[in-house]
Order: sequence, then structure tokens, then C-alpha cells
Amino acid sequence: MSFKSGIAKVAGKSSYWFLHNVLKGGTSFPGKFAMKIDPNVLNSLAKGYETVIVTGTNGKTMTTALIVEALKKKYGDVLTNPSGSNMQQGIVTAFLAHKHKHVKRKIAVLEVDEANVKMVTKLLHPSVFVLTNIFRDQMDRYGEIYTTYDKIVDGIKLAPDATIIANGDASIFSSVEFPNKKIFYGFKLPDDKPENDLKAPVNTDGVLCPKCDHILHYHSRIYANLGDFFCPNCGYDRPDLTFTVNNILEQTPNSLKFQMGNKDYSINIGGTYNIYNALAAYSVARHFGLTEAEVAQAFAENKRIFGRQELIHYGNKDIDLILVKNPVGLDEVLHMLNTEKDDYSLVALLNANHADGIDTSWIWDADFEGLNKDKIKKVLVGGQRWHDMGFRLEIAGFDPGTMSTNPDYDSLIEEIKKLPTKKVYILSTYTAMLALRKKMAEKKIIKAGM
Amino acid sequence: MSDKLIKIAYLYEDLMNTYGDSGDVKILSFLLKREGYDTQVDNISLGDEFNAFDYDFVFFGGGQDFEQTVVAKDLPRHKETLRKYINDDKPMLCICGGYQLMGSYYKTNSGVTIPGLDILPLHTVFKSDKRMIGDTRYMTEWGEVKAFENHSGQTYFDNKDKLHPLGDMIEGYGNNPQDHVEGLRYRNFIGSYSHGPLLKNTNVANAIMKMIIAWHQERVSEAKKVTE
Repeated sequence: MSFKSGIAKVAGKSSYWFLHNVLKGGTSFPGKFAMKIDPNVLNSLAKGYETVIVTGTNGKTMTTALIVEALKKKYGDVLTNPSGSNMQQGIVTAFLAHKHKHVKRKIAVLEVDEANVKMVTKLLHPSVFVLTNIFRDQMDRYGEIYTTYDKIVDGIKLAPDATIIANGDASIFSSVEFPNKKIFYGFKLPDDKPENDLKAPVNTDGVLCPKCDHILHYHSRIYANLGDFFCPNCGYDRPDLTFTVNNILEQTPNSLKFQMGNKDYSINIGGTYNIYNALAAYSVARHFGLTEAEVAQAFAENKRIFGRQELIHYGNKDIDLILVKNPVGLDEVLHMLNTEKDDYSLVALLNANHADGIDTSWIWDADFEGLNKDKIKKVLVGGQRWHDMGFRLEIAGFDPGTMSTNPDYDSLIEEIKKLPTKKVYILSTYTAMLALRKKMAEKKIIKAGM
Repeated sequence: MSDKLIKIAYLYEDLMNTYGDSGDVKILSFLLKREGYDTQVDNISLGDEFNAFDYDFVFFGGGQDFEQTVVAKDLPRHKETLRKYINDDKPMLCICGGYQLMGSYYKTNSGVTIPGLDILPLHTVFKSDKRMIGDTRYMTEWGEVKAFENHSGQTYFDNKDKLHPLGDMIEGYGNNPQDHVEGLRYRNFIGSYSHGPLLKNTNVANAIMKMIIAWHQERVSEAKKVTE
């Protein structure tokens, strides 16, 4: 370690200690501070670690959390960055904050923003890349899906020795040839038959064959453009899968039961997209030598792993607070709501700050029309762009009589208490969620922090 | 042919579908429903046959750059039917990429010139270092419009006597950084860079709906004459 890195490390660590213990905060400042002293501090901090980088549009946080839970089973201590802190400063802070225990294998599992893969790869020399999916996401910030994937590709090219563990059901991940070792995972459900010939719904992006520009078809489609794809024109099709989900046994908004390999797995969270996240984590765990039984045990641990979904008890209400940020993620949440058996109330919060995406058009590409409205007894609309959200729901067929608008969080929280159902789903964009959580923390409904 | 069924052709709905413009069609369907009309939306995709006069309204939205180049290769098959349809005062709305493709050409960031349908005298030049992103406001013949633009294509009219803008800018860029106007109004054709979607501005949505109903009634009575 250079003298400069040594200083940066000490400075970063003490600023972390100060912020964490004295000021009770600080997710990115210590990292920023250490990087000021030595821009390459990450290089020395990460020495001796095998690093797993998790990237892609949706599922980074959940996949990272599940990988960490699984690897802890075998290796005890695993370094990771907290939910959402996936930019460089957040990653440096994660290394600074980590208390070293004596372990056989030093492993770091990091969620990395798509745009930062190249820069982080330069500094960390990762041994594994996990690629979840690429969908349109806040196009005013990220641009189009091919641009996003190009950024990830630029990073992978710097680490030809690393293993790529990628979603084989996403055609984009086999569109570029790499010298790297590749492991693909995907769904191989009982209805996935070679004679099936299906197309994706019209609101799906990324459906063109990467080889010949014709529209891809599917033997089995799971959601959006993910599934057992094939090109009827040139024959391009899904790569061979090493790890598979073989069956979905049970699905509710708060539980999933499914089969991978020869074993059944349960997790306390809903949504088909979370089965993909579990499958990605399972693939990484198996790659690191865990047995099926060890993975199943890790997933079944009583602790609820949240990702970007949180359960809140408030008065007599059971509230599911769910982050939504792009049309594919939102669509999948809507599908998940359609598995709810009880009546519920829906709260939709839309902001248009930089972190939410300043363009709110994307809510129109999600299928609110397909939401089963019989179960929804009341709708509250809020956030800066409550007007746009309310209009979207009205066009989707919600009776304006069952909707009310609450731009103010104090009154929104009061209204939630008065909702006619026990079950409440809040769908919220990022900064609206932060604002709501802050208000709820002030009112002691939840603890502060994320 | 049903008197109360409005048929909408959505050009390349499965490829030009990433900027929320599907909302324009959803809003029109909703407003038409309130007027007592059902709607049928047909996706006209790669390789599909298409006669514009079978429809009461043609819609063409924005998509990703790559998809747009693929669409540009398939589109010329429909040039004649769309040219006649537009010049015969039939209603059509084109947003962003769809709007660009009605012109003579667009030049991509890498300098490649991709021919459009050349139905309207306009052209577009992409400047990736000057992407125009943000809220827009402009004044149209139906009143003020609020929307969102996100494009690197700069569109210029080549015949300003024939083409008229949809609106005058109050906020944002519109067609290009120089002209301070947004979109195009030519007969009953509307082209625009407005996402948001555009038709959440119900003043514009209602105006387009009136054009659709008028042409629908004409089409229904013509069909009746033929069968009589």
C-alpha cells in the first residue's frame, strides 16, 4: 500500500467512525473524503478480496442481499455495500466500514450502478460479474438499453479472467462475444416446449434478434423480454443454461415457492422478478461451492430480506412499501398485486426529481389497465406529480370517486390510517419514498435510516 | 363495418414503444369511449400488410435509435398509402422518431444518412452532444401545451410555406435550438417531439378526437354506399 493510500484509508476510516458513531449517518461522505486524498484508494482497500460485481437494471439490491446471505453460510464474513449505495463513494465507504474478521476467503459482493462498472472494474479486478437484466430505465438519465449494456461491456472487457454469471433468458447478454468463462441461468418451466411459438406483448422493449434484427419469439416467456427466446428467421436462440428454475410452486405478494435443480426453495417476498434474483444468487453460491441444502437454508432464514420492498405495520394496517422506477419493474409489481387474495388499498406516489427521472412518461408504458380493480377499495395519489399519476389511473379505468389526492405527506399518512382495508400497497418513486419514510420516522411509525 | 368501432393503426407498436407515447393512444381510446365509441388498436409491425384507409387514425410513436433504424428499412413499403392518407386530410399523429421518419431523411450521430418516407418536406440531424431534454411549454391553436422532450434529433422544415409548426415555444427547445417552434401541423397530420404523453393535454386530445370522429363518419357512410 502506498503512503498516500495509507493516509486515505486512515482518514476515511476515522471519518466513517466519526459520522457513524457521533453523527449517526454517512453512507458516502467517508468514501468521498478518502478518494479526495487518494483517488485510487479502492485499489488498496480491495487487495486480497475476491469481488463479485452485481449489475443490471432491476434486481441489483435484492440479488446482492441474497448472495451475501448465502455466502455467509459457508464463508462467515462477507463484505457488501448497503442498499442503493452503488456509486463509487458508497463502495469505498463499504470497504472503510467493514470490520475485518479472520476468514479463509475474503469475499466482497458489490451492487454496482451500470454506468460505473468500468471504473469500478479498473480499481477492483473483480472475479465474477453477475448480470441481472437490461430494461429501459429513466431514459433521461441512462439513455437507451444498448447504450447501457455497452457501458457494462466496456467494464467486462477490462477483466477477461473474470467469470460472467448472466441471465440467459435475456437475449442481450449473449449478443456480445467475450473471452471470459460464461455461466447462464434461466427458467426451464414445465410449459417450456419447443413447439410453443409465442410473442412478447407490444409494450416490451429489446425484442429484436441481436444477429438479424427480426422480432424474437419464445417457447416460454416469463416476463417482459425474458424467456426461452428464439429467432424464427436466423435460428439464434437461448444459450445453454447451467442453473435453472424448473417450477414455480406458489406465488403470493409476500411469498414465493419454487424449484431449482432438485430442491424446493421459499423466500418471504413476492414477484416473479424476485425468483430471477434468487436464481442469480443461487448460481453465484453454487459457483462458490455451496451445496443446494446450504443455499436453501440461507434463503429460509427467518430474517426477511427486503431489497427495495419493505413491510410496515401502522395502526391496524399492513403496508407494503414498494419502490418503482421503470415500466418493466412497475409492470411486474402490478402482476404481483394481481396475486393478492384479499381486498386492498393502493397508494401511488410519483415524483420527478433527478433520482426519480425527470420524465414521468414511463408510467404510461406500464399496464395499469390490466390491474384487477375489484380488489382495490380505495386509491390515494400523491407526490409532486400527483396530477399526472391521478390522470394515468383515471385513463386506466379507476373510478375517480374511489381516488383522492394527497400531495402533503402529513395528511397522506392520516389518510392511510383511515383506509377501508387492512392491506395497503404503496408504490412510490425513489425521492417520494425517502420523503414518506422521513415523515413516518418523525411520527415513530418506522425507524430512521434505510 | 360497425358504426361505433374506431380502428387505430399503431405503426410498429412493438418496436417504437419506449417513451410512454402509448399513452396517447390510451387517452384517445378513453375519450372516444366517453363519446360512445369502442376502439380497436392494430399493431402494424415488420413485414405486415397495411392500407391506411382501413383506419380512422394512424399513430406512430418514438422508439430507441436502434429500433428506429430497423423500422426505417421496413417502412418504405407503406409510403404510397400514407402519402395519400395524409394528403387526403386524414388524421395522423407522429411523435419523435415517428415524426422524423415522415421527412426526407435523418442523419445519425455517426454521420449516416437514413432515408425517411419523404412525404413531408423536412429533415433531421442528430447531435448527440446537444441532446434536448426537459420540460416544454408551447402555445398551439388549441391553447397551451405542457410536455417533455428528450431527443438529439434537430428537425428543420425545408418548405416553410407548406409546413406550419404545431406551436410557438414558451419553454424548452422544440424542433431545434434555432427556430423556437415545436412540431408540425399539416392538414390533419400532427408531428411533435412531445412525450409526457402529448395527449395528457386534453385540449389537443379533444381536437384530434374530433378529426377522428369526422373521418370515421365519412368512412362509415362511404362503406354503406358501397354495400347499397
